[in-house]
Amino acid sequence: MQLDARTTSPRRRGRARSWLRSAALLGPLATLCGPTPAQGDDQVRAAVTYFAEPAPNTGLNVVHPQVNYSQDFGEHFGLGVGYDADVVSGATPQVFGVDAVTAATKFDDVRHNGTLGLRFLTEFATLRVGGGFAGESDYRSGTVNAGITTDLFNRNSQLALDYTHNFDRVCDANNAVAEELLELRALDSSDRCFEKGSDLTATRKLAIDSMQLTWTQVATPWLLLQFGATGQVLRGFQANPYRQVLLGERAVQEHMPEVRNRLALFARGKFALKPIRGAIELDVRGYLDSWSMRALTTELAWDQYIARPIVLRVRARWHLQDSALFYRDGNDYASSGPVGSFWTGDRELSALLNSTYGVKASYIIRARGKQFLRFIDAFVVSAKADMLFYRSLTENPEFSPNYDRTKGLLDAVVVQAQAGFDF
Amino acid sequence: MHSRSRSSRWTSRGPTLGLAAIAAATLLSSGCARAVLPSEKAYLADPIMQFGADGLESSADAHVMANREGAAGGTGTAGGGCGCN
Repeated sequence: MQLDARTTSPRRRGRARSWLRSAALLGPLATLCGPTPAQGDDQVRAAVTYFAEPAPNTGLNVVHPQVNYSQDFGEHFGLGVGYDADVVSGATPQVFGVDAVTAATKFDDVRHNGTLGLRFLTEFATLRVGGGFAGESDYRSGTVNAGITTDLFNRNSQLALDYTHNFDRVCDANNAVAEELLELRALDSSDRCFEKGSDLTATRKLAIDSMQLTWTQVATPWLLLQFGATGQVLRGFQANPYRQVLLGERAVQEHMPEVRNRLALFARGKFALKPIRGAIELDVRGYLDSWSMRALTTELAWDQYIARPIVLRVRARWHLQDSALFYRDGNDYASSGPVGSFWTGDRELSALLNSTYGVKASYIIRARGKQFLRFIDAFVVSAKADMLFYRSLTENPEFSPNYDRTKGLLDAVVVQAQAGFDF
Repeated sequence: MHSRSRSSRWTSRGPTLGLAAIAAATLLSSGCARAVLPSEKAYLADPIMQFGADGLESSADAHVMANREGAAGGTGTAGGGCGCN
């Protein structure tokens, strides 16, 4: 991680820590919810995603390359290998509750993630096992997962159950000498992280158990439905070790509960628009957790063949959430202090409305009779762009985290290019 | 001491009602509907009728949203209804 000399603080991250760590927290869910190529889906895919959240002094940029390889060997065995990374750069406020612009610190960091998955296909079910490892300067995450999918009722129904466990290690400041919570110091640097014998840092544990049950149902020749639930239990250190919150006149390291139980219920429907060769999809998700956060997410998408090899998709997504029980805006923390023993400067824990509007074009070239290069059945290329809008629903949005990034008309943008082939 | 106001749109019965709705919808769609024959699944086999057909896009999308929102999970499972598995 390299830092700009804008401040005297040597190595400090906030937003980058959040971005990189979200990948670790997401890991088990991505494993659960990620695609499982069906039998015969031998393929290679590579993509690069660029995320930008512009702001005059505290902007954020992320480049996210991905590559996946999946192949079946014989009738009963399949293999999947994946790699992705986050290359993050930007600037973030040092302390939540003070002027974000003058106190901003620049940063950059890289996270690497590798996964391996095996599939066993039997007459009655597909079994999956896998694992992965992600590493960066101050966070390490190991993952193991297992799942089963079976078809029922003349293959008109499909039941899937997946479980993932995360073994995560988080670098923190060594706060062994702190006698009370208000003496917690933030981590200054990742230089001594995971170093044996270091008296400046400490390694904290985070265990994550995730489980998802999904039922997919062919309702009619034109309608596909899916219902399910995802549960997750997090136990361990979940705060951002770099982030400080101004409590009265004292800047104290963010302090969050060590247990979080999460539940998401979802329903999806996909309807074929037979006369115009298109399809519409509606997704609805309800969410709640033990931090008293509740959310409702809705997405509407339309896929349409423009010409036979070209598919155009437009989508809109809205996410509405309440704030965590211990969230306060920066002004409240500074003037009145926290309620209870927890405090955070995490925007994701505040009440907000996120809106996303996007378009994607895909081009699929299929071999007719003779394969390309004697082994390729199809080439696929696609490009997409999403516009993201954020609206704080707190009583005083100007004192919410990362307010500097929300002053423009467009809050953030995501652009992705992808290419691959089936064989 | 500041007390946070909470919207009245949330109720404690939400999860229970949600689970009940999912169970009812599943039973209705699987048990009461006429079975769809393999010969009637031409449209369902089309790639645009698959949930989460683009795996890299889905995972990158979830990555972005997880960084901007407090909720996670519930994004479903990839696949469709062609009975190809």
